[in-house]
Amino acid sequence: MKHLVFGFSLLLFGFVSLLRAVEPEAGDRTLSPYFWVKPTSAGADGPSAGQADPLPLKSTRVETTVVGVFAEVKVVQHYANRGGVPLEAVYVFPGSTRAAVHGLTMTIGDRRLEAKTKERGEARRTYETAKTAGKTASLLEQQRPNVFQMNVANILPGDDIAVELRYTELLVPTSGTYEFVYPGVVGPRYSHTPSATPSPEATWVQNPYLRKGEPDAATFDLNVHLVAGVPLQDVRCSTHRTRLAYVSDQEARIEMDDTAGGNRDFILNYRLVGGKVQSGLVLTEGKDENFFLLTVQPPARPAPEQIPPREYVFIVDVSGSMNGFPLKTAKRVVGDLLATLRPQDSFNVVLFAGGSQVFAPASVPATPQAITAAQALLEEQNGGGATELLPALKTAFAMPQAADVARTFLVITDGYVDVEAEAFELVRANLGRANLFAFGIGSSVNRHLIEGLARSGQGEPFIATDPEMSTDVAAKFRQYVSTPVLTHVKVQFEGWTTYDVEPASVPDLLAERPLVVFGKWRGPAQGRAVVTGLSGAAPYRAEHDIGTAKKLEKSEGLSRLWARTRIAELGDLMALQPNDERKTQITNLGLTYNLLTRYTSFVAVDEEVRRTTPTLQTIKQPLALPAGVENSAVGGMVPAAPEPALLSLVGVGALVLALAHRRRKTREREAKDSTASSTE
Amino acid sequence: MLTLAVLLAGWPVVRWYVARLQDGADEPLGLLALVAALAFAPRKGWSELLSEVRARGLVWGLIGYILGFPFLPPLGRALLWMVALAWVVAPRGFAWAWGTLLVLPLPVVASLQFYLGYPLRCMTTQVAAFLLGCGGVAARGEGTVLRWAGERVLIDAPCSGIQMLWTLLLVAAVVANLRQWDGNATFRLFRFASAAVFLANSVRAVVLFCIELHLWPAPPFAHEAVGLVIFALAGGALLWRAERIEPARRTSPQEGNDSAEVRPT
Repeated sequence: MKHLVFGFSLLLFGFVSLLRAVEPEAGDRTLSPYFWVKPTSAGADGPSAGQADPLPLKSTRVETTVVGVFAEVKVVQHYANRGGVPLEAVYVFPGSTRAAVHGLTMTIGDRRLEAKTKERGEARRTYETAKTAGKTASLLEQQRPNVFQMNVANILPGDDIAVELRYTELLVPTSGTYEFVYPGVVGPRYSHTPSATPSPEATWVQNPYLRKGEPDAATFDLNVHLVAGVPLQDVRCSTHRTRLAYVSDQEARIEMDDTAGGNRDFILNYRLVGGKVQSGLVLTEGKDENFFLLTVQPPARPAPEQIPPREYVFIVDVSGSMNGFPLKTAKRVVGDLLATLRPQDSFNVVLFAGGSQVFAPASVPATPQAITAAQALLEEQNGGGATELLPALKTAFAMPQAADVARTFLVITDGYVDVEAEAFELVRANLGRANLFAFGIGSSVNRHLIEGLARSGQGEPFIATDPEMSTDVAAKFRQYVSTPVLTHVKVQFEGWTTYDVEPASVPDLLAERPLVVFGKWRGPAQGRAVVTGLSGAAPYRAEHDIGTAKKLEKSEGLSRLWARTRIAELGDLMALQPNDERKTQITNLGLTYNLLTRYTSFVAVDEEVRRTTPTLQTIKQPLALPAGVENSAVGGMVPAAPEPALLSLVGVGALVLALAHRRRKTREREAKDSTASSTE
Repeated sequence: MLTLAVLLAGWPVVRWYVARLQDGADEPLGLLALVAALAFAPRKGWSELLSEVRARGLVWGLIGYILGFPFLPPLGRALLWMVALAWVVAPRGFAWAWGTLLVLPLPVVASLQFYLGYPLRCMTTQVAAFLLGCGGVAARGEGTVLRWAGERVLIDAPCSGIQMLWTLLLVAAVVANLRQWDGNATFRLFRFASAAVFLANSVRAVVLFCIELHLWPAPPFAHEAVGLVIFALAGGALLWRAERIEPARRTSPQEGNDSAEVRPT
């Protein structure tokens, strides 16, 4: 009876536990990336007949031409179908945050089709209609300013389709060094977006990834043709093996020598002889509009002792995607920064993953004991869990602030989240008397988040792609924060009619970087541009004569860059206060200047109906994990508690048995001795 | 002769088992249990006359094996054949302890994971959530997921405790065979082993929850170490329980008397 009761209780408990195994509500499941599983049909020689090609993207080739400060980039992607089933390829890839994407061309065989710029919804409808009708079509959409998605429909067995996109970028030097960055791969993003009701712009997060170490079947190739117009020096790539060849002292060709180098950003740095920077005024005259670009060399940085005490709040990402090199680098960066704080400064640390942990309820003076304690707290972190950036920012902003002390926030993360707009809005709404800097750590950080946070916070972005850079980055940050180059900056044009000037108000200049102003002008090209501000405590003034401006023959590059800057500004304002008017402005800018934006896309359709069977399989191209990122960064890798290995368990079991045997023998011996002594 | 006949009847099972050992689908450590079974194989039963009870058990076991052979999966056939074997070779009644040593080498872990894994994980999650609550951590158990402060720890398939259960049952079977216990005592020890594993697994889940969510700092090898320490404690508890089942648990030395088994207190 006792056994029956016990058995029944056990069954009841088990039943209740199973009842509580409630299926999570649809809203509980969120979009997340996942690991790609190679189909069993795909052998070493490729997919078998009747099966889809699981990896339609075969290669990416990037050709860049840099003339002066303008970089013109052409990205050619080859999609091929070596399987037996028509397919639609979906490929998510990164782009520069400053890219003005202005063209898309699709080549099928000997036919070359130029894409049209359309409103996003209309472009999507055009593409879907063509796809259903069996026509080969391509659609390029912007998911984030630095994340693009290419859809190519009706790639028939045996097809080899080339899709080429083109963009323009302005290169602005820092401390005399120019940098061209081509982002390698989109990192896996942590997302709160429910998987049941995602918006079409959000589904890109749900992308397959290759495991760490798994080779990417698609090759990656990049070359840069550098035409500075001024003698070059120190041309180097710190991220990839390259072959460098000088055509002349002002011209060089750089070719990447690593076909598997697509899992990290390509960064090319160079300087001009004598540490010069190209500055001045550039004008173009178009049919309907004229554009200008003004770059002004900044003054020398003031001395540190002139700067009052500051408060620093470090907001550090310790989530799963930071595990490994990114977290090690973050610890080093923060450790180095803490060590350089002055006694009159104060600081605090906020660590975030799924939750937030603060070092102290309020900032503490930068005493050696406090710094040691903070460094110890950081060393304990291993990297695990989700990436809840917004709650961490709110925690930091809510901290009490001392009167008359300027506050600086420093966010350190790889940026693998999809809440960029919310983060920018939060930063802008809460800054007051503070600046915010953003450190991106990783081989393929989310530069849109890093740069957007810094822009919203009127600070500067920093990117450390490997541990060796971290020391220099920390030194740079210290310098930027403690000694801003130029504050209270104003740009005025006297005797010259300008309008639509970007930026509308110039933020403090923290880096040794030229001041860059875009705009439109009308009337005669005469008058002067005047830049004023404060350098430390002393007033600053620089003037530029419009009559000595350089005139460019073709206006498209400048007009695109102006439009791109305007779109970025409107995008940030949309994050603060979405409204239809701003959406319409962005859409019109995209359509007028033929640019890829959040609300305009490129679509190309081949009018020939090529697929006559109903079968069409959609394949999402798996992406390589960024170099240095662990498998734990991919959603679904929730921490678990696996049992020890069976061998270890059996070993422990054997020890237990040995112990039992020994005790038994001891007892028997004692019993025998006891019996023998009682007999005596 | 009868024993030999039963062994020959199980030839398909033996062949299947050898093939399973070679396909790498299961842990080869089941061979340890087989070696233990051979070492503890009852010797007297081979040459003794069958009692009525043993004969009945053997006949039913063989009928089940023969009739079920075309329909049952290989594991089912193997279990029925072992029932017949355990009746024929044991000197007194059904050799529960020795029979367990015959069953453990079979690829039962995967089947146990399939049928018992999920319910066990759900129950473990609930117990772990309760224990965490007692410690001041208001975790929620939802299915096989422990949730707390926006974080999740998954009690997934490798966390079910089935491997710990297999190993502790092996230890219990060896202890019962060493002490020549009857079926009742053996069953009581197995029952205790099952409960000990369940509780140990729940405690293990609690500790690893705290480590995974950085409530307790721990080095990377802590996962394995915690599991082994807790398993060792469960093993110690098993020994403690075995000591409290009296030595009179041995089967009676009286010949041919299957019912003259000393009852455990």
